[in-house]
Amino acid sequence: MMMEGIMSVVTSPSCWALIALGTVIGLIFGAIPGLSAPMAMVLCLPMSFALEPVEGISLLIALYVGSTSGGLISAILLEIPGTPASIATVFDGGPMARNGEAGRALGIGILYSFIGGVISTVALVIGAKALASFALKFTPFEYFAIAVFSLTVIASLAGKSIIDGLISGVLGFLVAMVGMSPLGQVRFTFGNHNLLSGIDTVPILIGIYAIGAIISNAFGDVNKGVGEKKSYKLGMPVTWKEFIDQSWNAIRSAVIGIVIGILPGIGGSTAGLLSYTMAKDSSKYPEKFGTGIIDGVVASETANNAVVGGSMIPLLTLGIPGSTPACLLLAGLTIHGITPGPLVFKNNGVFIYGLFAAVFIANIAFAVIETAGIKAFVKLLDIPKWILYPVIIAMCVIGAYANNNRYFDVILVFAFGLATYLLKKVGLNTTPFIIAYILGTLAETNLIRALSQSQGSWLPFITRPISAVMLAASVLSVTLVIRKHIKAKRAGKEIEADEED
Amino acid sequence: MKISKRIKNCSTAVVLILLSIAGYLYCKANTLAYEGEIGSMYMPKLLFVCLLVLSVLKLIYSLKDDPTPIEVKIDKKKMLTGMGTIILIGLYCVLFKTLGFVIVTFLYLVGQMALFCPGRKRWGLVVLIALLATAATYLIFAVAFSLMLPLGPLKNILIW
Repeated sequence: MMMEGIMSVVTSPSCWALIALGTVIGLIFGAIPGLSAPMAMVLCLPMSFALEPVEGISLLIALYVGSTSGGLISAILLEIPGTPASIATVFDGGPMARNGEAGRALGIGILYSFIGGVISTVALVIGAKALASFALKFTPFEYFAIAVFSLTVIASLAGKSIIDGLISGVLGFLVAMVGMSPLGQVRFTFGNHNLLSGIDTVPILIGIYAIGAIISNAFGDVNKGVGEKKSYKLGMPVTWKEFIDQSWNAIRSAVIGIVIGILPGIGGSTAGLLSYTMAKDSSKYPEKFGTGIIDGVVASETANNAVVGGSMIPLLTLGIPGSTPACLLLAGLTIHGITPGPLVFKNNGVFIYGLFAAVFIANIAFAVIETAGIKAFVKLLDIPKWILYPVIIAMCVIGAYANNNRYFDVILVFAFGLATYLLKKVGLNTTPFIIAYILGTLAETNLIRALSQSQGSWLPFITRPISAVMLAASVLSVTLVIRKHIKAKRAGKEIEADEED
Repeated sequence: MKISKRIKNCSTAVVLILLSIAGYLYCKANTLAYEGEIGSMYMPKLLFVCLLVLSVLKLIYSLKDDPTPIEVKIDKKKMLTGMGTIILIGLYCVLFKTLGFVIVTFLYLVGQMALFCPGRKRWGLVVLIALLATAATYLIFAVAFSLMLPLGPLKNILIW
């Protein structure tokens, strides 16, 4: 059954062609801020109905994989995450590009996206049923603990002032509160019906990373570096030694991505942030994170691609789609007469193994296509900024509108862009803002659900093992960061005192 | 222009303190009694309290900052470029629906590229690039991806 299923895809030229096509379209959608995997899948869904089941679903999977990987292109080259899953890639990928290592950063991102995708595909094939039952052990207590642990990265990315970082984080958290609360009350909409469903992630990301950044540059030297000869470091992205050094980082990040993918409703952005946090906390040189080191790119890209395979585990074994792309895959499966659930391996085993082969081939396809395109992508940086910046803004604004077909999102993009510029002027970093915004809803929703389950008792947060471990790790992480800041301040004061003497 | 770090940080802290108090009062006024202690306004109230505490700490630390005003050199050209960019992006967003994305994108690109272009303004090149870029976005977004974008006055002329 397994071999029959795999060969049905491997020996089908039409499947290969559709996977290649889906990957290219997915890459474009992933690379352009505002366009996304769900959008690409929705556009191609009607096309998939006319195809054979394995061909149609192969196309949708290729779109999903391609767009998840495509986000790293703009995250590294333009410091604008193409998809929310690539937010953490910006933290180190962007500085790498600024340091003249754009080609290397892209190569590393592609390599480790591939590794993350392959590891999650293997997990999907070998352990789908076992991993699905593991997912059922996660309750709102564990979800809340995951959100809190991911939030601790704010302390380490706060910059020179932890207080300013925390202020920025609280502001981001408050923005996440806009709209309908988990209990159904409307908050902070001030009568505007466009805010009933809250503020979408895409306008905020585009506003902060595209509009805000370009406005800040407009007050500086826009055409800095014009005429300079630039080196982008193409070639092998990692040495053998670096590959060995990063192996534990990659495996851990892949596991995080798979687990986050299995848990419904969390998503690739949290996986990227969580794995980045863990990579930084366990690193021998945490102070280098954010300056352009490969560890950050490895952690983020391995995790966000591993989410793809992970999200298919509850989808296929339990019929529970954990993300919007998974919902669209479910729609595709249902239209083709495949009912996901506990009996799917028994009733449609050949098809399911064919689907696993399609996931693997899609990972190979994006790695080959993106690697072939690295030189062309890097050439983007040679375009004069006076041409590049306006075109980026135009595409981002159009992408923001296309996200929900809503004019209000375009206004939000401008508002957040302006707010980013003003926040930077008063010394507030926007990175904690965006992290807290993404994790805020997850934290609040699960806190309320958890306290409802425990009838107001906070004890289960400590007595449940997974929750307790994650919360303890959070406290430890924050304590270490604060201790480091205090030490650094004392060292600075001692140096000043010595100089005065 | 002279501004001291202390005044800048203290002003920011005061604004944040006022925001947190206003926010907390808004939450208190909109708390639904039947939801109980952990209701819809629980987390926002907690966050506004955190914001108040952090803002007060910021104010205290800011009072220790150097009060000496620092001379801030304002480059008029950069200031004009920056303000012009904000106005252009603002107009682009506001007129996006009214004029349609094709017209407003072309006008924005011409204006922004002219503003950013170093040295002598190359109007011919700017208009050509704006035209090509607008055509490319139309073909990619509206034709290839079939996205429903506002066309404004051109809706009876251009085809999806």
